[in-house]
Amino acid sequence: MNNGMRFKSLCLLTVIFLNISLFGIERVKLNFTQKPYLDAHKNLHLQLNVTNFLNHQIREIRINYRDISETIFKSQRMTSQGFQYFASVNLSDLEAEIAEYYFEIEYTDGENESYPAGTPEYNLLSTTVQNILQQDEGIIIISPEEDESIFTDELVITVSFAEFGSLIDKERIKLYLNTWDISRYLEVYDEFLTFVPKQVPAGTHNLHLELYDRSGNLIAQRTWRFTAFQRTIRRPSGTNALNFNGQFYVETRQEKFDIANSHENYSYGGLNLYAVNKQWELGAKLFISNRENSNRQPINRYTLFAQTNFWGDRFFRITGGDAYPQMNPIMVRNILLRGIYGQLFLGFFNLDVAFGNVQRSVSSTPIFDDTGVTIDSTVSAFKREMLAIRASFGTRKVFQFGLLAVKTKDDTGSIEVATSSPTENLTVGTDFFLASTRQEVVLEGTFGVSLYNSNITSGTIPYDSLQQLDSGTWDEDTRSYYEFASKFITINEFFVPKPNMAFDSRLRVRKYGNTFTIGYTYVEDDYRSQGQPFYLRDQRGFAISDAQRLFQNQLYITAGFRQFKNNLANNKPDTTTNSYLYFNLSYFPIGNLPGISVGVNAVNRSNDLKLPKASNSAIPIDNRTTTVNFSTHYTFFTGNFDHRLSLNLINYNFSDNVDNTTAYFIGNNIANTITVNLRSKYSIPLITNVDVSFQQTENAQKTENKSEFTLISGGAGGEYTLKDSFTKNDALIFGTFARYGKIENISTLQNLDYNRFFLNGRIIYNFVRHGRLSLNGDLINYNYSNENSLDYILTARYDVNF
Amino acid sequence: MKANFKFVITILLLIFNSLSADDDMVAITVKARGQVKLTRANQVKSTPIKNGQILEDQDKIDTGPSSTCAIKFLDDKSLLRIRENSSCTIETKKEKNVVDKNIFVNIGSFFADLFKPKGIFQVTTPTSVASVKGTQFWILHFFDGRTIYICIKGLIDISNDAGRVLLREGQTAEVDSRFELPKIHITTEDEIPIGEEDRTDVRVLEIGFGGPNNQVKMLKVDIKDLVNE
Repeated sequence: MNNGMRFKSLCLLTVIFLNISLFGIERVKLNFTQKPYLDAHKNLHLQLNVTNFLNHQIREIRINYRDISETIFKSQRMTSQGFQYFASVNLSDLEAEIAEYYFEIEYTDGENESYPAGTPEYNLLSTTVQNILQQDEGIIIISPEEDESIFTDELVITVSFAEFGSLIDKERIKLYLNTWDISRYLEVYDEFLTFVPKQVPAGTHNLHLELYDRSGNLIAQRTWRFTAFQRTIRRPSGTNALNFNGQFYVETRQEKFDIANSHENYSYGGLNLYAVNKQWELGAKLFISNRENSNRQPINRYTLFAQTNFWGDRFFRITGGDAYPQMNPIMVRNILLRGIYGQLFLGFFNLDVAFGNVQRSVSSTPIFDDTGVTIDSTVSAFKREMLAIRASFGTRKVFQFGLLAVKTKDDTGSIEVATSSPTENLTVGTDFFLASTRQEVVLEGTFGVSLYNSNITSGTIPYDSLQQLDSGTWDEDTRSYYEFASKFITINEFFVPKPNMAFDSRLRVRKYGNTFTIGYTYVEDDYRSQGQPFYLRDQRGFAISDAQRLFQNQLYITAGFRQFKNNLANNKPDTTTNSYLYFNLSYFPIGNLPGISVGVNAVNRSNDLKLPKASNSAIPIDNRTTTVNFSTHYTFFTGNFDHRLSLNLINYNFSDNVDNTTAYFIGNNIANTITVNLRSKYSIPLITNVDVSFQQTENAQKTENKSEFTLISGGAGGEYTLKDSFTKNDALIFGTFARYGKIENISTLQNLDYNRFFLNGRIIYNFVRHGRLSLNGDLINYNYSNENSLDYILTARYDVNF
Repeated sequence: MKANFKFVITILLLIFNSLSADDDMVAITVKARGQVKLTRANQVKSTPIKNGQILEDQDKIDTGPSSTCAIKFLDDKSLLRIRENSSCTIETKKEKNVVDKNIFVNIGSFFADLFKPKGIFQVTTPTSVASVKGTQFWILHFFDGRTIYICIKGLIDISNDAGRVLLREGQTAEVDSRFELPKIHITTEDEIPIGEEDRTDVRVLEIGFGGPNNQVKMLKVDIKDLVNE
């Protein structure tokens, strides 16, 4: 690449990165490939496209999500395929009607970034989660009844749904006997369905029924079980014999990035094995990648586990290798442990113990430029060991009380060259859970206290030496405290003597279709639990939300308010208050009418400073972000074709109220986005998707420094399935998707227009019992000022379940 | 011309039947053992009933020796068990989603278990009419015209030309004729029929424990096996 091209490339990168979009200014750029959607089972499907100009090595992308009434996020890893990342997040256990989420990228050099910018404190993405009718409304199980015992040759499945009348689309009814879809065998009448198989295997079986309306919306479902016995006296099968199953997968990917002048190969494979009977569950998981490197945190995964079941739900489980202990939301969660994790559940008493490494030692290595001069160094990490013990009382159906202690310590001699200091951390705490019999009222909370030493290199130093280093108050109480604490943690001049605490609580009341939640959070600045590295510190505040379902879950109204402040110890230059007010109304008509969702969010950030404080370098912050979104979707039919049209409008307005004549004025930003999407299903096995998107962003820092960004993009794609193509029960799927985007960027710094073309093609072959082979190709072409860059990713993957 | 007319009539009948068929479907057979026969309304010929047979208004069910049948109503899953050598006709009247039911008993023994009944559930014999307000009860109608009602749970309102009585849980009513008021007494255990579904090869194991003062305590264990047919 010559100097001229390289200069233009750098300008392109600068312009792109200066473009203040919802997805921020970071190493890579994320865009939704298609609008996230929620399926009938409340799985949120997301598809991201990653623009990675400089080929920053991504270790993983995670989606962090939560109920809007909560403060703590759950986390799920996204699956990568070429430039795209996919996730299917199950939101069915959320209590509120709105889920908030954001994305987190972890790079192989240890750096992390979150998207959109500002998350998780503010600027979260959200989606409405529609709850379907309660399970026992409208569906009458005639036969077999819940937990009924029958003979294997006299099963009659009959369900009545007269209350729904003509709303039910009889063609879409789904009934599953265990995992077997028996829908096509049903005799469906106006108000009931029935199926009489000749025989059913002996044992306990599950039946799962789903009823859909004519728009394809799931409006009711029910699951129940029964037991079938052979007429000769015999125990149902499956009590002693082990049932085996497993999965195997392997994938290889070739990536080429023109601008970054890089060409990489990624290959990985995995094997999951399970064996289960009434008493035992055994399993093994293996994941191997060619990117595994002793100079990075582990990518490979090795796990073995065994669980033995006692009477009722009681069990003992031991996991060796890589595990993800989830003991407490503010002390042990979202962390990879390589060691041993044991769980004993007896109900009246439970014990969880986890010990091992949560961080691998990685020594820092220098980074050289083209001339061999050291310009930087990689981030180091000490080997970190963790021991966590939690004892609890109660099954957590209506009551549980837990006590937990977590200790982490870095091995000071584990690396040669360090860019950071070895640390040590001790956290103890409790958690409680109280609920009414049907969990209509739930009160839960957790409290933790931590001790932290930010640099244990010198080890514990004598009390007298410590006295000489610090001129603070030293008395008998201090000595007693030193002697007590030094048994558990290294004490030197870097030790934070004051224990820091965190408290998180929530009260939820559910009644008559209304869910009211109120929560309070208090986390001091130096509170740390290295068993939960993603917990936001130095904040206190409350959150209130209320969600109401009306008219048989057709109308949802959600409103809430959150306010959090930092600087609890009053030791920062200023105190910032974040307030978040939201209102959302969603209408999901049962009949074939358009669904509508309208939402307004307003986020205020302010530190009440008009002018900077010369004494402590605090600068004024006073801004408001208002987002108004409107979306609607409509399903209509033309002949035998099924279409779903959706329209999405977003207005994003960031206004900075700081005096715009000062240097602290960030600027105002307005962005409007319109997206129209049409998804069609045909009588032949073809699905097509067409969308058009328009985005306009204006960014004004000062009157002389403005930029305007306009994006127009259109995409179309389709997927065709050939069933029984080579043999019976196989399927060959052809898919393709193309998107073209035209970007105009007018800026006082640099005007730069460019076009972006993305093309994806895939072939997937499904052969039942023999696996699934998929080939995927992604191509991106950038065209700017008559220069071109071409990037591609080619992926081949094989999966098989057995 | 005649052939065309017959063809049109046939098509009209089929259409009419298909339009009305769903409305007439009121119950389903969940268990049929032995000789169980179904006679549709306005038909003479009877057909064997199998599991899953859909029943309509005015259907007549007959059971032979050592034969039983269990049906459930589709609107509220009320259960009617028909024992051996019995005969009844199902009469229903449907309004919106509620089905009023009348079991016209010709002969035999029946057990009804009503779970949150919708509409009226009534049993009619030649000598009496019982309106059920409860959940579980037996009806036995004999060749000599007697009818016995045994109320296991709930209330049964029994009426005939002589008057009306309310039968409560744990009581038995005997109706000898339509001109005599039903006689009520406390139900004894041996009066309650053991149905095919209830009959088991029950073995009782008794274990005696000797106490310190020469007391003997007995532990009784009922071992229930499923009937092997």
